[in-house]
Amino acid sequence: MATIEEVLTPVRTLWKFDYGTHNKALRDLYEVAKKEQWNAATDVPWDREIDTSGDILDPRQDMFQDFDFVKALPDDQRTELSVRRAAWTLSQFLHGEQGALLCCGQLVEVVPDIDGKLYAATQVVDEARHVEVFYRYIQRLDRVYPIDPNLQAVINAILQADLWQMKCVGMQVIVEGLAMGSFKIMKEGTRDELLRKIVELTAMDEARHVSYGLIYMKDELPRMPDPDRERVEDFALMAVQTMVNSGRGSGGQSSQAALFADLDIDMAAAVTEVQEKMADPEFRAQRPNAFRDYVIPQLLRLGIISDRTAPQYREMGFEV
Amino acid sequence: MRQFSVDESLCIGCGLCHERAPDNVEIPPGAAAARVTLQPRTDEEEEACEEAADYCPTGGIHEVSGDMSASTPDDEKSLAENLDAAAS
Ligand code: SF4
Ligand SMILES: [Fe+2]
Ligand SMILES: [Fe+2]
Repeated sequence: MATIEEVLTPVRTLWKFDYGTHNKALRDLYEVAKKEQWNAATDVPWDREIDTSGDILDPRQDMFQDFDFVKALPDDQRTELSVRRAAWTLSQFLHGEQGALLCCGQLVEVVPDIDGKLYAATQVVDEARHVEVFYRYIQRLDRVYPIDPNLQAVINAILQADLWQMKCVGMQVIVEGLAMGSFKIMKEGTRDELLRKIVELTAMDEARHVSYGLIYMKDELPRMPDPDRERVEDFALMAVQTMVNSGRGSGGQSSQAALFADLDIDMAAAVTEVQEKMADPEFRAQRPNAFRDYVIPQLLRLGIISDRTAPQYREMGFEV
Repeated sequence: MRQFSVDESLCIGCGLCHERAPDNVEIPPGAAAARVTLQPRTDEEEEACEEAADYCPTGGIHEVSGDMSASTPDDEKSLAENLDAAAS
């Protein structure tokens, strides 16, 4: 993986010379954010060993545990795969945290209100802390795995979007909502107390980030001209489709190839099993789903899933 | 007056609702999820609860009709009176 990649972005930076409060809900959220800062270096019990004896990820969340080719592995290899799998999953969150850092840095520039700019500045610090905390944990667990191409495609699309409302919906509602829901599921399922503490602290920050998107867009979307609002709807659909397809194996699996190195796995049989199970709606329905439970309801709440785009969400299996 | 409740299965315990409606919504000590501890009694409290629902990042606060999960002081008084009556 190249250690540096360039993305050219058309950022329309706005100064605002009216420094008064115009959106009190956002200004209040800024006050909450200032109060709730924590320090990744000192507020996390780093002296605890990582407990790899049990499941690092929630076994319900980690579908790998239900694959026959995984169940057939000897115990030591199954544990090794579980550790790698956790490191791969957390690596995606690490890269997502960096993506959020870059995107909310842009939000400081592009949002038109001073309330929105001040709040976004606190989020920049939050995301820096998340990068720090996940990198430190993953290094102790295993190693950092490359970013999934579909996740990177969505984050690049958000960085390159020309409307600030696309950035706000794409990052604050969709990506942040997915992170918040996933951290809740992880907190409930992990047997490692260190990870539990990390995701608990991080989820509290992500909750504010989602709240910002919801509060801002609730007022903003109805004010937008129809053609622009439709572009936001289409952008949201693209982001959800890309990430849902990633989870179902169109890009996610290729970036997971390194997980299987040196393990006794018949790769051809494993690929067939993964493809069959991922195409089975019942297999998918059995597990917690942060998209279904935390992202889609907020898109509905904001009216971003319209009659025009609803059929395509239904095709992905969402009840809208 | 409108009534509200929290869907505890969605709630992540972030406490943003309590920031908006401190008199009505709380995370009880030791609990993982918020609860509507007191239904709104005034227009201000009703508005605060509505704002709490807007603030909630999980969509976990809903307006409800009919049975309420939280008690009001009147409910508590009437329950106490009924218990007294039953005991006498
Ligand atoms: S704002 Fe919503 S998610 Fe957060 S504690 Fe309140 S009800 Fe729970
Ligand atoms: Fe984050
Ligand atoms: Fe975030």
